[in-house]
This record gives sequence, C-alpha cells and structure tokens, in this order.
Amino acid sequence: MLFKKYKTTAIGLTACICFLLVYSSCFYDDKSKPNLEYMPDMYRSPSYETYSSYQNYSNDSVKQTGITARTPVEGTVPRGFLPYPYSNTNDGYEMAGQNLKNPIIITQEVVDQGKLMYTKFCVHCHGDKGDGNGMIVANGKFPAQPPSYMGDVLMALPVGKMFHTLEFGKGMMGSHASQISQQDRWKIISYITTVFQGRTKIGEQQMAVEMPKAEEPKTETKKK
Amino acid sequence: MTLNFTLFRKIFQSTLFLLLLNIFFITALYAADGEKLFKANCKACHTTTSAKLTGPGLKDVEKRIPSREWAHKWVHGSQDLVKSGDAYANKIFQENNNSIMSAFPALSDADVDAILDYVKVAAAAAPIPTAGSANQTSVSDGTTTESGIDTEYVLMGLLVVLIILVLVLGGLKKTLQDAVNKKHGLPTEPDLGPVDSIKVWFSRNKRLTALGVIVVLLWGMKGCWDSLSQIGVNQNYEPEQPIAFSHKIHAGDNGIACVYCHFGAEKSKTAGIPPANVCMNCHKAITSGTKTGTKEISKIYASLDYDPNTQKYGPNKKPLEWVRVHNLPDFAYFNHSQHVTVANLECQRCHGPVETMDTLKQFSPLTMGWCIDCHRTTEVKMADNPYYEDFHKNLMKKFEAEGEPNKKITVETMGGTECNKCHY
Repeated sequence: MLFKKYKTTAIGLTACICFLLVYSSCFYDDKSKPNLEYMPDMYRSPSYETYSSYQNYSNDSVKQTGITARTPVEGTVPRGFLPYPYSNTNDGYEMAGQNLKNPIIITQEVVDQGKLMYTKFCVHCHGDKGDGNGMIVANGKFPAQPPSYMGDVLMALPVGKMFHTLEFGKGMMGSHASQISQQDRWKIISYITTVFQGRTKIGEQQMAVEMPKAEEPKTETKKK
Repeated sequence: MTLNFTLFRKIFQSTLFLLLLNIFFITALYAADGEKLFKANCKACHTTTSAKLTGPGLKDVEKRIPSREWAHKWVHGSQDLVKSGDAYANKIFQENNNSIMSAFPALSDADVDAILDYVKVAAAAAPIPTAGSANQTSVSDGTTTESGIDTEYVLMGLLVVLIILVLVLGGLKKTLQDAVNKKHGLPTEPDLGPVDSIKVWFSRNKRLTALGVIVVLLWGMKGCWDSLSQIGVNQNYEPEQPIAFSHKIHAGDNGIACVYCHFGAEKSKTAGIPPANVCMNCHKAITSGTKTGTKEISKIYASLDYDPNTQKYGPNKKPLEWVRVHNLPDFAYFNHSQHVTVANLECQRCHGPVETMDTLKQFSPLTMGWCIDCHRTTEVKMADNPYYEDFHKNLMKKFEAEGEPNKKITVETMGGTECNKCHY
C-alpha cells in the first residue's frame, strides 16, 4: 500500500540518483591513470613497440620479464661502428693515451659542432669556460669538482686518455659511451683542445690517414 | 720596581699578542692558499669530510698517514710509492679499487703542507658527513603536504549548512502558520510528509519546474558530450613514477640539458627513457637528494645492484619500470628526430614547461587536431637548413611560376597534413 503510494516518486528518485552517479563518474577524473580508449586493439601494437611491456608472448624471457628491449647478442657490432680496442683498466688507459689519436681533421665546423655537444653533455660539471665550475659544481650539489682543462694535469693529458675517459668514465665521471657517439666524442675533444687549451689548431690533423668514417647513427627509417 | 714590572708585563703581553696574531695570519694565509690548491687539484676525487668519492675523504687524514713526508712522496707520484712496496701505500691503493691517483709533481712540499692545513681547517668547519654515509636518515618523504582545506570540501560544507537552514526555516514556517491558523480558528494544514510536499511545490510552480528540468537535461547532455570527447585523450595525465624524480630539480634548478638524459631525441624515433647508468653519471657522487635524502636515490642503486660504500656493481640488476606518460596510438606515426633535429623545435613546444614540473604530466592533448593545428600554422625554417636545400629551391621555383613568390611555407604546404604522412 505504502509502496504503491510512493511508487512513481521512488522510481523518479532512483532514476535521478542513478543519473547523477553516472554523470559524476563521467567527470571523475583521476589524473594518475590513463583515460579510456575507444579501441585498444588499434591503439596498442601487436608487434613490439619501444618501451612497451608484453606479457603474452611465447618468447620465454620476454614472458618472464615483460621487457621487449632486448640486449643484442654478445659481440654484436652496429654498422659503421668501430669497437673500442682498449680495456677498462689502468693499463688500457695508458695504452689509449699512447696509441689513440684524434682521427678527425679539426675544422671550424667540427669545433662548432663540438661546442654544441659540449653544452649539452659536459657543461653542467666542466663549466662553460672549461674551468670545472659548472652549474651543479658551483651550486654545491656535485661534491667533486672536475679539474680545469687549463690546469697542468689536463693540459698534458693525451687525447687518447680523454677519449678513454669518455668511454669508461674516470674517478667521479661516469661513462658517456651510451649517450655520445664516437664521432661526436672526437668533436667534443677537438673543441676542448682547440678552444679551451689552445694546444691544437684549426686545420690540424693528428692521424696521417683518416680512420674509416664512422657512419652517423641514422634517423630511424619509417616502419614500412 | 713596580713600574718596571708593569712595563715589562705590558711589553710581554703585546709581544705575545702580536706573536699570536702573526701565527693566526700565517695559518689563515696557508689555509687560504691551501683552499685554492685543494679546489684546483684534489676536489675532483676527495672531500674534506669523511665522505668517499673516488678517493677517501680527507678528514683526519694526518692521523692515518705515516708522516707528512710520506704525503709529499704520495702526491708527487703515488704509483712510485706503491711499487716501492710501501705498506700503507699498497693498503690504500687496494682499498680504493686500485684506482690510480694522478701524480702532481708540480706541487711543492710546502703546497702539500698547505693543502693538509686547509683540510684540517675545513674538516673542523664542516662536521656534517654527506655523501657515502650509510646511516643517513631521509629528510622527508618528498611529498609536500599543502596546508589549508580543499575548496570542494568548503563548498560541500556550505551546501549541507544551507540544506539544514532550509529545513529548519520550513519547519519554523509551518509551526508559525499552524499557530496563526489556530488563533483564527482555521483548520491546520495536513502534514504531508517530505515527498508529497515536494510534489505540491512542483505542481504549484510548473513553469519553474519545466525550466529546471530543461537546464538539468542540457547540463547533463553537455557533460556527456564533453566526457565522450575526452576518451583517448590524456592531457594532464600525471602517473606516479617508481622514483619521485623531479624534472624541476634536474632540468630547472640544475640546468641540465634535456638531451643529456633523453639522448635519443635528436637521433631516433623515440626520445628515450634514460637508462640508470645515465643517472649514475651524477649519482655516483650525489648520494643524497635535496628533498628526499637517500630514499629515492637508493632505488637507482637497488636497480643496478650498486653498493655506494664499496662503489661496486653486483650481478642482480633489475630495470626500473618507469610509467610512460606520452603515448601515441599505434596508428599514428611520430618521429622525434624529425621534429627536434630537422625542424629545430624546442622540447617545450610540445612537452610544456617540464623544467618547472616536480611530477611530470602530459602538457599537450596529443590529439590529431592539435597536430594539424601546428602543421598548419608553423612556418618551416628554410634558411640555413641544409635538410631542405634542394626542396626549398624547387618549391620557390614552383611558387614563382604560380605567381606567389613570397608564399609562406608551412608544414602543410609541404604536405604535412597528408593522411599518409602519419597514418599508413
């Protein structure tokens, strides 16, 4: 009896509440989670995409870890890449200093490109004047101050040792091999020895024969 | 006699004072000189505290080394000393992972002494051990709790108060009406109950009710439309990352270039999530964060199985699973190198002021309309851009033939809005 009396009202109220709930859920927006997708099968590639994890593939190691970025087979050499012949030891360091020479001819263009690379990869610690007073050293965050390029020690440092240091790191400096290509590393070294230290000049060539030119890492070709 | 004694005492005092002053100045002078020498030669590998960098921290170094003469020999050529079979030299060489300390033959014995004096002064002045100490407590957990109450809660509270007020006033009105009716001998209005009274109100105010219904319906439709158009759009997406990494501190305060870590942006399709070895270029030395202490940085070490005390890597590496923020659907092709290297766009153009963000969020909607907008309005930098040299010449010829020699060349002019540029 009571129910009949309030039937329409009850239905109306329920409808209202449902509407409000649905409506508010449309607006509920938790920015820590991605939004809905229309058609996930068109959004997500069935083939491996960079930095995506895949759990449903038959390859066992991928299945276990979900990592699609695979380590190349040991000993793999990319095209146009020269493997670095010296080992990460004190002896390797000395040998690099004796035998490794700057293979590129130092031109103004090389120095300019070297400067560009230097401002992206070195300036934070070594400073824009090369005195070891970069931003993070000057503001006290990085406890180890790199020696000045113009100091006695680095003025006398063979370029081979500089390259070795970029390859493996030395002291508090880490390896930059994964970030800077070999060609770019020589450009940075050319910039340092020419502009900061003045011990090389534009037009100078350290090696009699230029090393086979390492190919610039190509822009990835389109997918198809 | 008394006079003589006083005079003698005065002379003695002033001499003593001068002597002390002299000593003080000489020490200060030495220390200052030592500071300069320390910064130029030693600071790359040593601290004046007990914190280890490449070499050991130099606090209380003189208590450890055999003598100052030993220090002179060590600085002039540490390897000679190691090879000569000196016991302490061999001990510390092995303790520090066999890393060779550079020889400093240019430093005189007096210079080395000055450095040692400076280390003593500086170590006394700065008693806080920073890097490398394992028993450090984290400063805070990195989350900043904002004081004050959320506006939403204030509004909700106000709403509740208003509803209570309306109910109380309604009750009061009814009581008063009843009292008036009673006084005039009229029958009291029947008690309808809340639902019926609302019904009565609706039937009495039909126009207002109709208007209200229309407004609510339109509002609802607009809300539905808006939320539907947001499906698949992740603007302002701000996921929690496995490490509370702050772009504000790294790219903003410390001014580190974007491509230092995202080194793929100039050469590859993807800008790249930096591998942990890039973190270690700085965090081998910086073991404690500004806001979070060792809490967050130790996660990098855990991922690489690195021990900051011995500075050695273990075999149990585990990749950090960063949460991807910007993600284009599979059917749209995008290449970073094309935009960063060829078009020379700033990263901020699409990613917004990343250098001000503590937690990274998606700044742009990354919708197709947004892409097209930019392709239509952005003028291509043809001057000094070898990438477009031939293309530019041909295009200029074509425009001149068409009678529009000064036509603005946007990305669209070059076919940047063709469907199959991005969808294929």
